[in-house]
Amino acid sequence: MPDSPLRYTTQPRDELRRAVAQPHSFEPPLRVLAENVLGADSTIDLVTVDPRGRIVLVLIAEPGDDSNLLTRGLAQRAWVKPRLRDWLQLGANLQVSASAPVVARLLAPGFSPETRAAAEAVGPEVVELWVCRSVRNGAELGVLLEPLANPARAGTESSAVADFRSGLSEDDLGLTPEEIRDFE
Amino acid sequence: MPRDLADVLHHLIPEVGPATDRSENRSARAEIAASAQPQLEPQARGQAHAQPEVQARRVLALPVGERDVVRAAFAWNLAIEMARVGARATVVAPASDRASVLWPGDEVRPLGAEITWVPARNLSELDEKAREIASPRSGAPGPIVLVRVPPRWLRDPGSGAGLLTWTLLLTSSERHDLLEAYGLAKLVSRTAPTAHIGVTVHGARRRGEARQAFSRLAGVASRRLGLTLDSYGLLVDDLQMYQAIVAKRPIGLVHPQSPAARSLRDVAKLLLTDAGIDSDA
Repeated sequence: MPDSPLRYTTQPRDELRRAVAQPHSFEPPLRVLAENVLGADSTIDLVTVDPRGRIVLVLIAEPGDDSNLLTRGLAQRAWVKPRLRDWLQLGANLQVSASAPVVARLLAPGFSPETRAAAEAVGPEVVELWVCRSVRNGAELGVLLEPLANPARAGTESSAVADFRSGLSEDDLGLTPEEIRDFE
Repeated sequence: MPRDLADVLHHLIPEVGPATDRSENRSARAEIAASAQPQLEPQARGQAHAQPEVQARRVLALPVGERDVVRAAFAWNLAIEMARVGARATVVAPASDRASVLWPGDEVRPLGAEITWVPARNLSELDEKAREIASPRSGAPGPIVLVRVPPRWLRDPGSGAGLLTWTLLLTSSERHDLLEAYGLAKLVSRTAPTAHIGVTVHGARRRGEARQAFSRLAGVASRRLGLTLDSYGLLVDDLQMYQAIVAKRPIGLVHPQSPAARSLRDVAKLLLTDAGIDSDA
């Protein structure tokens, strides 16, 4: 194994956005409402709805720009929330509640510890971090999207929150605070 | 057979020559052994399989989450690598997986190691179906069966603890994933106290990182649970691996000489050895 970090291909943003917008890029799948929406001083790559009825703003990082992406995600979320009702007046058939929660889903090849810590601090109901690996097979661009495990506790909801890739939480696994500290 | 990461590092690290390899392996083995076998309490030592024995195993349980496409891909590719080195292998998954994104579609066939969907709603039913598939037929030994175990089913195992007799945990070297692997090992060992639990590390960018990850996990499992974890090496998830996952093609067929394919083959061989199956490559 080479003694250097693995690198993934970087793709033109439009192409990457199109690949991410494919119906089954995310699991569970998202319903795309709009692409490349001009929001707060920059564009939102995708405005989508998830199966729980949440508005999910998908933002794709520029290479090496994950900390700025977090700031951008929070700003866009704050920008979208008060405009949701207006949007729904224009598109009543969107089947979205005006009071739907809005979450910023940030996509990057990797996230720095600082970005992770910041995302944990604001919580998964505000920001989700997803690792996005774009790969090219011939002329076709594919993306592999994986949610980053969220170590943040969600207060009293912790037992219902799937913290790990297994879909289980610390409570499910019967982890004690001492055991958790062993891995810090 | 207890294994540690040092057993396979030499396959995966091209920049290290054979002579250095051996000495590094010895050193790594000693390092891991030292950290993984700290002061066991006598009663805990009794729980650990201090005298592990090689025995024929046919069913390997892999706890893999419903959305964990990477680990599902590793499981599927491992089965294919087993087939490529001459063993009969199959992946068994609950029928509810059929519509999920975890597995390649029916169009990606045949590959020598197919996915068998079984009607199972809990661990007991999955255990029963997996054993049925793994059982000998007409005097010939059954295939080695890699079973995707929905982790949620571990919380309510019913009479399905037997399925966990030989369990492989896939973990990256990240702290949070190691904690998860530890938690899964704890859950499995509570359900099946005599289970042989193996660990394969993936996602490490440097060999030291993988070694340290296994060492840390094994050390905490030993100290807190009295568990001896077996290392089944490491998997290299390089770009070609992800290309193969996205294309839903087996890495061993698409890029047979890639580090990812070679590491899969090595892990597959380790598993086959512990299953008592001779591989021909």
